[in-house]
Amino acid sequence: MNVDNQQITIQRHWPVNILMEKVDISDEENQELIRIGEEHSKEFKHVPDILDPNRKGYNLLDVDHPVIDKMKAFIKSRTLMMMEAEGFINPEKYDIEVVSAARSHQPGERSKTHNHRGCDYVAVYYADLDVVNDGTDNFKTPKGRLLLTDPISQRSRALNHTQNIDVIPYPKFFIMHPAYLYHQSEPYLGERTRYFFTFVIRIAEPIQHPFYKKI
Amino acid sequence: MLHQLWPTNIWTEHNFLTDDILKQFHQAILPHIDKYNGVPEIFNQEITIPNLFLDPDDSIQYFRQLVKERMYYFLRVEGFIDPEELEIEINVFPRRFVYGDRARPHTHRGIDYVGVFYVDLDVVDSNEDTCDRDDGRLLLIDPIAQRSRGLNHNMLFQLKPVPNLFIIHPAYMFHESEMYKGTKDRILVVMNARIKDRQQANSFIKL
Repeated sequence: MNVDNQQITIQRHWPVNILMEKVDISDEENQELIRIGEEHSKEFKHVPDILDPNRKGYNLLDVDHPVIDKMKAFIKSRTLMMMEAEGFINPEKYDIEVVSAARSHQPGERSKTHNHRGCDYVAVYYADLDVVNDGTDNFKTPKGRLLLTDPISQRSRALNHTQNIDVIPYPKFFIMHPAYLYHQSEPYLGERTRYFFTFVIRIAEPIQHPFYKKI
Repeated sequence: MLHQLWPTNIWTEHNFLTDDILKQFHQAILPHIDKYNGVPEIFNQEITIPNLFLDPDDSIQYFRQLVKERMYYFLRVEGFIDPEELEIEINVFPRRFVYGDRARPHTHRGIDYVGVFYVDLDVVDSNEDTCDRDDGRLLLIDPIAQRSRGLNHNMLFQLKPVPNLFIIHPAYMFHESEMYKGTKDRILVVMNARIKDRQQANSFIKL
């Protein structure tokens, strides 16, 4: 038996695909996006049902504005890229449904670990924030990063601590990942308001989706 | 009948030790804390983790007996057949959290159960249900992501650490400690336990 055999492949199936991008957007468009977001989100609370069962939602993409139209086209394009990577056959034939919200974090605010049920992908566009990164690890102390947690707990490797992927947000940074993936925002350490936009995306599969009925 | 199958069992027990024994135990474990520097191998490949239960101190050995009783009871809850016939192996070590320290979401591979015993700390909690603020809580994360319910936010079970609180949960479950915001050191004892499999545990060989 030849230990040095060269005819070996290690197949890497079912990866968790993460799309990250420095978005090509002008400062003017970015500021306009923040303005629209603030204007349309001020009357809505961003808390889960348990804290306010009567809260109402909204979709920022309903706003009739050229920058929002560009955002829609951008999200559609990136979702199609993601679907391609995820192995969808002919992704163009599916409808992509999105709901978007404008959010902000003040210093010290975070989002606890969560994922999103009933949808396929989640994306965040960080429009503006202070980047606070001392370049050191955040093992014991949070550093305002976005943490993505390995969805398969059995394979987690405490010894080299790869259960979490750290993402350091910066202005005009975009990220999209599967909705099933647990994620959290560490407490924000910057001084100026962190403005970001969330996108919850579902793929409307054509076989059953049009036929759901309320019971 | 609505069957509730495969629950994730969590043992929580307040007032685990009497006040006197807790005080004695606290003093007994302090010299051990700095023997473990609390970082994973990626930061320190020389890391070794000594076992607190090797210390013959009376309070430590008393604690060991209580842990053993709870572990066997927990195995019964988990559905083990004749758990008393099984050996439990455990590694136990104390840790210290200072203001601002936390533990990221993690699980423990290669073992079955994880326990924590909070010895001393400042209880600092807003006593509010929040999703955007650190309260120094222990967060237990639903191991089945598909069923998580964003609307009522019960993908997290949030425990508020207090002194003399003992907890056991399965090692497969992701858990994290939010930032500790107390003034005095948070002293805790961590327990990693594995159940020796009668059929194979003694048959492994090194490659």
